[in-house]
Parts: sequence; structure tokens; C-alpha cells
Amino acid sequence: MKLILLSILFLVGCGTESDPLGIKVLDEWHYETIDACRGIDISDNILVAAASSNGYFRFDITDSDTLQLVNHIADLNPSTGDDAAYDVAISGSIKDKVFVLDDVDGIVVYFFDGSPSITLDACGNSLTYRSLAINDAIQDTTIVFTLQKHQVDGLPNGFDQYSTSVGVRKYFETLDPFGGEALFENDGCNAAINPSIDAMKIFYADNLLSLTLGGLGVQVYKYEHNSDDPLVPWSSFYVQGGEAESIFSLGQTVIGGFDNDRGCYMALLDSDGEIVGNLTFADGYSINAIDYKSGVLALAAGNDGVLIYDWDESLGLDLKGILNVGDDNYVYDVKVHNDDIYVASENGISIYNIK
Amino acid sequence: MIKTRQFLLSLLFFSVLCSNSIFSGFKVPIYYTSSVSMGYDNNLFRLSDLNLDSTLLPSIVDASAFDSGYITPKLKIDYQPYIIKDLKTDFNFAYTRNHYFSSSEKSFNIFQSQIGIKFAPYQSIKFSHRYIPKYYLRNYIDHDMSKEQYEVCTFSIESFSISYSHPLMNRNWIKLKLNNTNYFYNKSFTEFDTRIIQFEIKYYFRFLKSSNSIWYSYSDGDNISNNNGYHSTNVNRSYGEHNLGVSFKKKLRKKKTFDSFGTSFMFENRFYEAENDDDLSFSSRESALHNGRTHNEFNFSFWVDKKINQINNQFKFKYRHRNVKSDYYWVSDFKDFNKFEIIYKVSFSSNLNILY
Repeated sequence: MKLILLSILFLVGCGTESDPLGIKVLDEWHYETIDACRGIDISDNILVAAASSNGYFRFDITDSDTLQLVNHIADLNPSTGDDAAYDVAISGSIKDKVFVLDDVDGIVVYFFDGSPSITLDACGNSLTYRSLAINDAIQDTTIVFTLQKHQVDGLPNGFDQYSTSVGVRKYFETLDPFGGEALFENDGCNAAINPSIDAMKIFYADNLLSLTLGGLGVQVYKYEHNSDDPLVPWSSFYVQGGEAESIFSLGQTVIGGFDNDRGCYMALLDSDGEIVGNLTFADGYSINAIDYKSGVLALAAGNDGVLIYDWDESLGLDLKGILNVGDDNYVYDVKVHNDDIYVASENGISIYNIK
Repeated sequence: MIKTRQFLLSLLFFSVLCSNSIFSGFKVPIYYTSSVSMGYDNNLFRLSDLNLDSTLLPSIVDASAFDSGYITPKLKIDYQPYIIKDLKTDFNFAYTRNHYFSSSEKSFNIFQSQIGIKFAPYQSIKFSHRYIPKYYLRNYIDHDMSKEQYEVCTFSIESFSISYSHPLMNRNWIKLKLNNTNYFYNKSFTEFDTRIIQFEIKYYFRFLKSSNSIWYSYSDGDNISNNNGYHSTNVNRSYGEHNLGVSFKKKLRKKKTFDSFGTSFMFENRFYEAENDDDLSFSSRESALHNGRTHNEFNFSFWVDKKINQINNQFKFKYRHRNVKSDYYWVSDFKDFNKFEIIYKVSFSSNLNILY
């Protein structure tokens, strides 16, 4: 008896294992898009991807985190030979559709119901688009913001040469008076503002349109629907030594991601657009894309993978860890959806189910 | 775990007390030995020459210097009650504190306990427990959380062992030992958590009127956190290890400057089990660090003892050298090291007159 007790005693330890820090990946899936996947967007059970010269992909993600290919259009514009998809944005207003941006050959709209695709007209006489953003908040209307580059000729009145502009288009559905079919129409593009040539990306949410402006940081505009001047200068910020590379906003909080390892700047705006609080984070990383959902903030950090934070939508966040997406891989875009992190990278699309 | 341990200890104590005719068996002296060692360690953090020359040195160690003087007080209690009929039982408890003057972070505590049951001369069975709650290694980058920020790397070491000694002819004897050691790292470095099962055979013999021993052990280190979902655990850090050692101790019969002297030499060969040819690229530094790595380590020590007025005095010199081999030339630059220690120890033994 005593010997047994002695034996048991010496099998009971004092030390226990620590709970590790970092991101625990419960499961992961990968989809090779052949060419680099530059952008993704997710809505409900649909994932769309811009796969550079391999065009546009649409997947059904209903079946627990896996990618079921629904549609793949490799050649966006059959009349040109160098088309390449660089960004995608889903719109659910009016009818489900995706805007696919080719930085040289314009923006093509594909409807999920199989309706014929349409190509957006020029905005401010330019078809050289750099970025787009969608406002689906107004019923029966899809408002499309586009950022386009201008050269010397054909500029809107009063616009600078070698500049950019942000155009606003309102799409709505009308009945074809001759054939009776529903038509997806717009009232023309209003090149509302004329930022410098450094503007590269735009983002829209909650009546704020933000754009990256290189070394000048992030410019924020308030969107006023149906106004003659719909984009009102609202706020701005920059980070010394870094150029704005990505943006995200939620309510009155705007987050700018910067290159040159300058991380992110989070600005909390008041009702007049003044910055009433700020936070810098992710120092040491260059941030290509930002996304947030349900307490999880994800930052695409190029070769350094994806940084995941717990965020309670205030001026404070906790780093959960770095999601490693493989060596020699470069992350262009990231989206948070349910418990999954969707990553667009040099190697294609990856889904990580995280704890 | 600690509460469970306390409960089991209480249960054991209670069962012992309830035994018949037991109280007389408890009335034996409690011996204690107290000692203090003072020493100097020239490479406290086992840094390679490259690390020692690195400008990053302030980031990788929390210390004012990479060498240090230290002091090590130790108290050992030895109690040998007669609990089991016709068998001699031996309870040992020891507490040791290693305090380094140049790094409080590096300082650590050791708790040891041992229960031995002696059946006959040179024949016994022993259960041992050794616990270091926190041992600071140095600072490393936690790759799950950052690409450049250094974090403190500590671990606890806990080992359980059972050993059996058996007499051989001419007062020689042999000891077989099975040891289970857990290395549990702090939350930033759990990817290194390792459970080590070690088997050791040690032969004690007399030769030229000296006490000698020779031993061999094999350890199987299982990286228990390997592939648990965290990226840093993708690398298998499991290893096998051979140890071969020999020691020699000679008592000087006639009056000499010293009462005794001794020396020991130990050779260790560790080989990491990760052998993935696909990782033979420079794409992953962490993979490369363990992939196909082996090291040979040599430990040498020499000591002399002298008893003056019931106080034992000992001077000791220890030297340690590790030579790392890897398919990647830079791994040895980071992992090779040399160090030596010079130690002076005074110890005093007596008994507490409280139970008899």
C-alpha cells in the first residue's frame, strides 16, 4: 500500500503546460488560382476573386468553409489581350452582382443570375481605373465609387493633368420600354473630386469615403447622397515615413495601413470629422489590406502573412497573433467571414479556420 | 496538481502514522546539510561567439553582462525513519537557490525530494522528484506573434525518476534508472514543450583505492506540442540523445593539503529527428534550425575537497563545450558555445535534536 502511494505520489507533477500565444489553425484549404489572387470579396455564401491574368472566379462557400467553383471567366475582355483582374466588389442591391476591376480595360459587371455582363463607361473621360467601392445602403440603388487616373487630354473641366478623380454613379433598375426586360441603368458618372496622382485605393462604409494618397496619408470624405457635391472633405491623417497603402472604416473609425513597415493608424472621428482619438499599431509591418468582422481585425501584411487582432471597435486592440500563410508567399488581400480568414495571395486563395 | 500532491503526501503520512508500532520508528535524527557555493560563470546564457559579438546582445539577454558571479545556498534535510518492517526508508528534501548577480531573471530555485527504500547494502529502490518552477533561457522572437520583437523565454523542468541499485562483487554496484522529465515553456514558446524519457545504467566500482563510476544513458525527447495547429509547431523538435560519462574520486589517506579530489567527464550526442529534404532550402529559418541537426557536447569537471573544523570546503572547475553540426553553415554559428565555471563551496552537516 505504501509503495503504491509512493509511486502515485511521484507521478503527480507540479508543472503544467502553458496556453500558447498565437493563432491556432483548426483547418485550412487552398485553391490555386494559377496567377496571383489580387483581391477577394465575400457576401453571405459567395466568394469572388480577382486572379490577375487568369480573370475572375466565383465560388459557393455554403458548404462549411470549402470553395465550390461556380464560375470562372479567364478572359474578361475578349477584345483585348492583356486584361487582368485586380479587384472585385460584390453588390447585393437590386440584384446580386460583382464588379471586376481591370486596371487597364475598365470595370466589368457580372450578374449572378446569368444576365449579360456590362462594362462600365468611362468616368471623367477615363477608363483607367485604380479602385472601386460600393454603397449598397440605399434601397433599390447601387452607388458605385470609382477611382480613375487621368493623363493630359480629355480632363473634366478644371481638373489637374496627371491626377485622379473619384466618380460617383447611381445604378437602378428600369424596365425596357420596348422589350419589357429589366435594365440595369445608371445616371452617368459624376467625377466629384480630383485628388493627386498618388491616390490608389478607395473604401466606403457608413457615409465615409476614404482614399489613400501616398505620402500624404489618408483623406476622408463624407458622402452626401443626392447632393451636387456628394463628397465633402472631412478628415485626413498620415504617418511619417510611410505611404498609405490600404484603408478601412467602420462608423466613425478610420484605419489606414501604411507601407515601409509603418503599420496602421486608427483615427476616431467626431461628428465634425475632427480626430478625437488615435492609435498606431502593427508597427514593423507593411499593410496591404484591412478587414474586420465580429471582433476580429485582420491585416494583410505581404510577405509577413496576416496579423490578427481582437478588436472591440474602440481605440484599443489586442494582437492575437500572426497567421502564417507559407514561406515565399505574398498576401494581397484578406477577408474575415465567420470563424474563417480568407486570404488572397501570390499562391491563390487560402481559407484558415481559426480558433 | 500541487493540491493533489499535498493530498497524496498527507495520505501517505496518515497511513504511516496508523501503522502499528510505528511511533518508535519515527524517533530517529533528522539530519541536515547546509551549503553555500560561490562561483563565476563566464558564459551565463550559453551564447555562441557570434551572439557574443552581436549588436543584438542587449535584446537577447536580460542581463547587465553575459558573465556573472553567483551564489547558491542549499539546504538538505535527510530523515530515515523505520516505516516498513525490516526496511530502511530514507526521505530527502532539498531546496537550492541559484542567484546570479548580473541577472535576477536568470536566478532560479530547485526543489528536490527523494524517497528511498533500502533492502540491503547497495540494494535499494528510490523515487525522486526534481522541480525547477522557472528557468530563464534567454530572449527569442515569438514567431507566432512578431517577426522582430524579442520575448522572454522561460521554462519549467520537472522530472520523476525511479532507480534500482543492485550490489555486485567487491563492493561494486550497479544502478538502473528510468527518468521522465517535462520541459514546459512559457506561453510564447510552447512549441518547444518536450517530454523526455531517459534510461540510464551506471556502474560504480573501486579501482586503485578510488571510487569510480561509468554510465551510459539514452534519452528520447518527444516534442509534445508538435503540429498542434500553431504555425511555430510545424517544426518537429523531437530528438534522441546518447550520454556517456565517467567519474573518478580519490580519498587521500595521509595528511595532505586536500582530503580528496575527483574528476568527471561526460560526452553527449544529440540528434534531432527532423530530416526533411524538402526543408533543405533557406526558405524557413526555423525548419533549418532543427532539420538534421546534431551536436556533441563535452563536460569536464575537476574538484578538490578539504574539511576544516567540521566544515567541508570544495573548489571546483567546470568546462563545457558544444559543437553543432548542421547542413546549414550558419546554425553552428548560433549554437556552438564554450563556457567554464569556477566554484567554491562550503558545507556543514548536523542533525536536529527534535525527535529523539
